[in-house]
Amino acid sequence: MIMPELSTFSPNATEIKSSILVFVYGFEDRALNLPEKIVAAETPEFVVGIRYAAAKGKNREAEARALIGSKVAATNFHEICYDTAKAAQFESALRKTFEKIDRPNNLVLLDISAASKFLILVCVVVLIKARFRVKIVYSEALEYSPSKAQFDAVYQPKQRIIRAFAGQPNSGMGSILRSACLSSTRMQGQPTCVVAFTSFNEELIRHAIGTINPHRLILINGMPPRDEYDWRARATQEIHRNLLEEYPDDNSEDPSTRLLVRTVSTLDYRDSLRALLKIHAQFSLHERMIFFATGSKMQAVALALLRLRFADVHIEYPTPDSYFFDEYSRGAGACHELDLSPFMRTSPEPEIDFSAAPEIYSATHS
Amino acid sequence: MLISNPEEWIGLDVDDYKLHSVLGHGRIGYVFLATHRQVKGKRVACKIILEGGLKPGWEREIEKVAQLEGISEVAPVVSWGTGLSVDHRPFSFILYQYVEGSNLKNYIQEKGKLILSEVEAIASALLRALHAFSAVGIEHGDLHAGNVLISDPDRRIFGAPRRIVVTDFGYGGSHNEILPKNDRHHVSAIVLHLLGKLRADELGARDRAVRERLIEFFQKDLIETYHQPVATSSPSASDGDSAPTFFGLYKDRVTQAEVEAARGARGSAGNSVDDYLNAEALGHRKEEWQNLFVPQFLGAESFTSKNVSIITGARGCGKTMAFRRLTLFMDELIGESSGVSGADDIVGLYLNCRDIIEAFPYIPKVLRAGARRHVVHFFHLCWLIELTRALAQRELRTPSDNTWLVKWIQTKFPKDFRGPELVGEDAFGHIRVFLDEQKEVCRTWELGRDRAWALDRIDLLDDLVKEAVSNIPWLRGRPLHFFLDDYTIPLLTEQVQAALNPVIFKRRPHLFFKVSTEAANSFLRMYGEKPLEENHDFALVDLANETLHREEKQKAEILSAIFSRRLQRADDLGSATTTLELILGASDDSFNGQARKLREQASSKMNAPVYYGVRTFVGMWSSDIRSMIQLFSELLRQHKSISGTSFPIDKSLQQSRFSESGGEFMNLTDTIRDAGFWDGERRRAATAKAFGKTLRNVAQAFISICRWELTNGPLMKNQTGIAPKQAFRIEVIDELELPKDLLTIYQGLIRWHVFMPDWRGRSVRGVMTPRIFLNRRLIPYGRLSFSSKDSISLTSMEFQQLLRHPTAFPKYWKSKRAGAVERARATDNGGQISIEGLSDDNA
Repeated sequence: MIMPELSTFSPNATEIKSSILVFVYGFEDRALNLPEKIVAAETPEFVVGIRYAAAKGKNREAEARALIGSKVAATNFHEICYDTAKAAQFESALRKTFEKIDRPNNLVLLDISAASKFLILVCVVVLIKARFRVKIVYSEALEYSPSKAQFDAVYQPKQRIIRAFAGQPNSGMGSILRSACLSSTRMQGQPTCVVAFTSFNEELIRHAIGTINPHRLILINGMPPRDEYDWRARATQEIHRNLLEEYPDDNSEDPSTRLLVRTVSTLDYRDSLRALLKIHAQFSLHERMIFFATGSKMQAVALALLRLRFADVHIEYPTPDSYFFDEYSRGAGACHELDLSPFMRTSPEPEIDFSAAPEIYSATHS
Repeated sequence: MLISNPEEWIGLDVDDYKLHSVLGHGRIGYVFLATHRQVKGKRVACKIILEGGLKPGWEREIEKVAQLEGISEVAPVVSWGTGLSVDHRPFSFILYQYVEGSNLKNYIQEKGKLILSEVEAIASALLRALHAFSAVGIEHGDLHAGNVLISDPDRRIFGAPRRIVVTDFGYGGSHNEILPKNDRHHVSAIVLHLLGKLRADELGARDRAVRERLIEFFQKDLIETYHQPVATSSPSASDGDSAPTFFGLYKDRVTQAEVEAARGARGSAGNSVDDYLNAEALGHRKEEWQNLFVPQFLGAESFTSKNVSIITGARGCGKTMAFRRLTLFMDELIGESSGVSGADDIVGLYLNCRDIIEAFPYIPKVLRAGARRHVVHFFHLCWLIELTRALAQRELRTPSDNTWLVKWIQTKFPKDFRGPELVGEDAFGHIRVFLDEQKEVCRTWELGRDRAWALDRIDLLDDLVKEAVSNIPWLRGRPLHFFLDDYTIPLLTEQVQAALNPVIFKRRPHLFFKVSTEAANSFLRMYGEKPLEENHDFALVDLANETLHREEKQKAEILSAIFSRRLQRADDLGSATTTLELILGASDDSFNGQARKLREQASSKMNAPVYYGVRTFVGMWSSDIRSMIQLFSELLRQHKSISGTSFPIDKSLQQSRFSESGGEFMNLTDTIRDAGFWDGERRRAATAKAFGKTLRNVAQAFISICRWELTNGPLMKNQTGIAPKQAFRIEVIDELELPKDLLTIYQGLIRWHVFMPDWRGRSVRGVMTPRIFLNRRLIPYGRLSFSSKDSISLTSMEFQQLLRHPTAFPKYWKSKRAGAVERARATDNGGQISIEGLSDDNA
């Protein structure tokens, strides 16, 4: 089996008709891009809307409800409130909603375009464990913040401060979200290997390590799929320069590109998954593995797949906003889909089958 | 030819026995259970092969077993011969000792899954048998899971283990033409099959390391040693001059894995001064612990004292390093005691509170009784695992009897825990697997859902320690210290602390909790309904206070010891450059002298360096080692890029870096958010983002008035003569009452170490009023003096104004004090003043 590739989203009316659409009421332009396309093609049998209790912007709740309400019967339309202050409860709310829907054989169309990475992780893990066939659908944005000009304007004069911020552990303990389905107590007491993705948000990793003090810190840098955004890979790496200098052994750079050897696509989840699998195979023998969902949405999907496969993977999600950069996107761009069912091995327990990546899947994990 | 109707053979007499029931069959024969015809209860396993089914040389099987008489892993032959069946067909039989139980294949099917300690026991038994075969020059010839028997426990013997016995030998060998099958390949196949069924990601640290080494051994080592001679003198590879045996090699592999698992990550980092900025980064690297741990540290005596202590200090102050190093586990891992005074008189165990929150992602606002029991059970489980880990580590060096622990766990988990069942099974390995599984049971169980928890009693640790002490002689007279790290709100919520406090603060004679928490106000001071009283229920040890009140010399010695070890191992410094003094040089001025210079510079606009040298560096220390190492390393890097390895470092460069460091601290303070923001207190969310700015403004305002006092304020008389006022401490001179919004700011200042409380508070009408001092890292940034003798005295109202209107406060202060200065000048009393309403320590 080959790891399924992200493909261009094409609405399939037959598939949609018996599907359960899950999407999140965001405020970004792309939030309703896919739900509109899906509903225009065919009405899903059920819809689950996820509403942020403490929205960061003006969420498009009314638009979302109007879009769905005009098509789907009220009894088939469910809403779940996601409150970051009670994030760990979302998991059981999601589970209960799907128990109520009671359609174990339906396809779940999970639109992650406006979902926080925490929601992506919980939805993928819970739904696959509940044996649903899950298809991820995802709309890129047209423009991502910060722009090069915005970044330079902030970073150039404050480079030293920003790097110091990003590298200084912060005890914002309450800002880290956890959920039972993402947690593990395996290997507690062993030295901790923390794995995180770089981003423009200098707060994320410093909060992540604020309560851990890792034995090893591995950063995975993100390379956007569009050439005009190449500079972002260098920028996100530079923001974390102090941290990279503190943990140089596990964060080597490619001498030709000066980018971290572990620089992976922010869009192609396979790239991230391979990197995660390699790290897990390399270090999980002696170390407790804690992963932080600090990268892109598709990287969060890769992380969820890793969690589904390995009982010793513990995932946390830091929430603070950047002190310096606005990270919100504008416009709606290319739409993708990813069917996760080829990964699923349902017997005896639902789990992920990584025979798709035999070249990196160590025999010690068979 | 195989018997076609075995049931018809039941009742047939064979030798002195009567066939009773069918046990199983192979390719050529059936095995029956047979009972003695006269002696009741005497049983054998009878293997019957019909004539024609026999191949030449079958007697060889009997010869082989005879040579192995006395080997406990081999079922002995009782008798053999020939007979006639009921339909008069001739057959041969061999009577074996009957092993009641099942064969390995069925045993696995019945159990579902084996754990690693069971696989190890089976592997060991097979290797012992293999060793015996080799020693007498035979091969079993037909080893597979069906020929490995797992006995039932002997009911006559309490706690008897299941035996592992090899039976049903093949009859290929030197006396006939049939080539025996390769036993080592067969043993490898059996064990690798068992290991393959274990998922590494579900195992604990020791087990996954051992699993990997065993795979390596059975895939490679055992096969490759096939043609090597067997040394019969000793099973250990390391004994004498004997050649390594496969059994010795196997034991070495297991030991190697155990050491690797204990040490954690393999490999090592480069050697720089700023390697390992925290204890966790050291992992279990034995050599680095030996290199970098300094037994003389701030407040060391309180870590080993016989009382419950709350230990706090600036972030990175080395609490965790001390906690971890004082444990039995680390002593055993490193192979020597920590060297901390009093450490040999205690036995330390360690737990980080992160382990608790990782298991309980969701903690409701109100923790009902069931949920509290759930949390307490998990807490105890963690300590039990830590004790087991430490004892197992010790056992690598000093084997001991651990049946007491097995029995103790059995009494707590009578339904779930059966203890090790197989002969030779490692009890600690078995216990750890069980306890690790119990942790996962705890984690996946919805908090508060009804369930009985085995370890939920408040006095459970007392019971455990009592049992341990009565069974482990070397524990007697040595109290157990439970080092609990990061017991900090909100990492651990108040609700969880309310559940755990009765365990932690329970008074006991031989068991003491040493609890680290971020700040003096970051833990719940309640024991049930009763407030916990400092000095009565616990001793509060603030390491930041230690830096305030310790002699400069003592502090310098501690820092020098820490840095000289780091400097010695640094690759990029000259071998002679191993002390702070050589690198930073001496500070030329006393604190008074420094203060006078600062005052002169303020009026003359001169700017010669003031902050440099070891005294300045030590003066900046507010207990946080991590930031001192970072500061030093950055300074060193800057210096080396300019001047290479010529020391001491330029004074101006030192001053510049020391000042910038304070600026960076202020910038970081900006980003602090009100803890209530994360607690979901929406009404505070609006102000949360401005919280850090407020803290910074308060610090900036205070620096401003301290600076004004130093540069413009009246001169003071102190022990060395006349000097400017040198204060970085606030003293509230009347009873302090703060409204809730200001209390939040005050607590934030303390919590985030912008200020640190001075426990030598001031008594006002019998009530202690707070004294807080500025984080010393900010002193060069604020261009203040390191002398800790003076204070800025504020009334409660003034202090409130400072917190509420920090940006306006300096103007008020200067205006108020300017008047006093004028009055002082008017009295013309030689610069010495007494200002009404202000109290100066150095007067």
